Amino acid sequence: MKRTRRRAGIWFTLPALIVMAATVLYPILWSLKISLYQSEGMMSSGSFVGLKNYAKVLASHAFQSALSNTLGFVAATIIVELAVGFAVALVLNRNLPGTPFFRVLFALPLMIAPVVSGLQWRWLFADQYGAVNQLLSLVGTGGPLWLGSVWGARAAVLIANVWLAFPFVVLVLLAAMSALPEDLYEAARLDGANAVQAFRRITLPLLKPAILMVLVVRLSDAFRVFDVVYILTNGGPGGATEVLSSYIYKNTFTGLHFGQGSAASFIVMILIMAVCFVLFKLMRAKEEAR
Amino acid sequence: MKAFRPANVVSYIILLVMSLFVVFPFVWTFVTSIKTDVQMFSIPPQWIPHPATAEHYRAVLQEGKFQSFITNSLVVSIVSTAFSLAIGIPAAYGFAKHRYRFSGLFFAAIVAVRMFPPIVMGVPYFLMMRSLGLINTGLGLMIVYLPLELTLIIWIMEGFFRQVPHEIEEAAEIDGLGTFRKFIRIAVPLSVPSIGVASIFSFLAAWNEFMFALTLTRSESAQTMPVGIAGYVTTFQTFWGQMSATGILYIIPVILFTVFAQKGMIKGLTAGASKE
Repeated sequence: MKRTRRRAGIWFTLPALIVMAATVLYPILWSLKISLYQSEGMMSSGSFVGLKNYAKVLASHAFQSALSNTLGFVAATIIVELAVGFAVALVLNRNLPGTPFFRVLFALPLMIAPVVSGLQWRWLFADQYGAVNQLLSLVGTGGPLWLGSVWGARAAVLIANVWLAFPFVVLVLLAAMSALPEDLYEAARLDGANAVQAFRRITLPLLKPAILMVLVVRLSDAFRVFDVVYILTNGGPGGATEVLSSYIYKNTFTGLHFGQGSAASFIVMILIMAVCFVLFKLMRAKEEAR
Repeated sequence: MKAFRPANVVSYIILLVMSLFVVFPFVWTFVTSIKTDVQMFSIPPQWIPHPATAEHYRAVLQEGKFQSFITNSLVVSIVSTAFSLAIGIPAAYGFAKHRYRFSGLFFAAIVAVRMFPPIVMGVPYFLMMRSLGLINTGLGLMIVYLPLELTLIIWIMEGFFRQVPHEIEEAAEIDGLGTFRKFIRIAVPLSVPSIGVASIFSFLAAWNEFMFALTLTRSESAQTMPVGIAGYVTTFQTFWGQMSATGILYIIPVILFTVFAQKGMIKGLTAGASKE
């Protein structure tokens, strides 16, 4: 009985495993091979160079600046998304009149293609005809040259990305909040705890799994940001918003340095895995310490 | 009145500000799409164009590219989703109900693929499709969308199948149903709503995908909507009116869908959160 159950499991999962092996595992191994070979131009077969491509990428100024831009972007966007997402989720969780309407409204950006969002914001941030600077002038301040200045372009990428991503944080936190046991709060109130204490002692600790999930999903998404950057700034001005994905894309498909492109993408992959691993360890360590 | 408590006022201010932030790009895109080129570049910008025009919509639809982009997007998204469902649903069921030696490891590996930066696959996919002669074809795109969709479908459906109580399955076994018939007759019918959610997300993953479409297609015969719409804004020329009109036509179905199917979609999005 047990054995037939197991064998059935193999048959159920086999087709998907074969497809995943063919479309993920095989290409990744291929990419690993490419990253170890000299391959300039369209030819994919050159001489074996070991880790030379990796060394070249790590030493290149363009990669280093893309890496630091990406790290800055990831940190900024995660902090803003979490802060905004938490605030909105707490408000929605109060179930005031109109909450269902707002919940649908806030879900909209999640369904929209990042390309469309990038285009919308590019037009909104236009310096002369743009709606954002028009709004700013209504309140009496001139806006910056958004896409033409270093920090303006960085802010624009951040805003467009927060627009796309904060709804995810809201929805996940809200789902987790609505599953919290009501009687805990009742007991806390009876013990004389105020709203802030209840939040710190009950809400936050119980939301830890949801927060961890948000962090892992959003971190890996933010690390690979491409569409919005490509459309909104294309890495400019002067490389100020070049991120790892757009750097790899240009290096590979414009510069045709396939070997270096593959090497760079493995470095990025290892980085993301390391960050997620540390995150899991941190969260677990804290849980055990309590 | 209860509604005027300070906490409520602050709450509504937050909701209002965030609503404006969310809605503003949509509104501005729509306004742009019904402006003439002259109105579009007037300083200061006009909030309500007068008179409004449908010229950009007409231009976009007459040009014919829009139709081929949307057809390509529909075909690629629907066919790849159908295939992913056909192999993803049984796989999720197997992972949830019939564990074997390495099934946990395989499941974790599949879910972990979601964390990969897709650019990692950019180079090998390009070389792979070139050697298969599938550059600039719908089939090439469908193949590279399979892993994106399978990870989503398996993730969502595994969570659902795990919640199906054992009693139902045992009752089916007593009735003499074999493993595969149990899956077809009991598990699949029970999971229709979840399959709906998984299909929507799988469809959207392909419908919105940009990077692979950009690297693997070259002309409107195979290009999908995201690449097509990006083409209105090039280094040389910018057609904001046509871009906006195309954008509106492209996102209207998605917005309508979100409004009507919102409950299921929210459940699917947050599937992982309630699992812990």
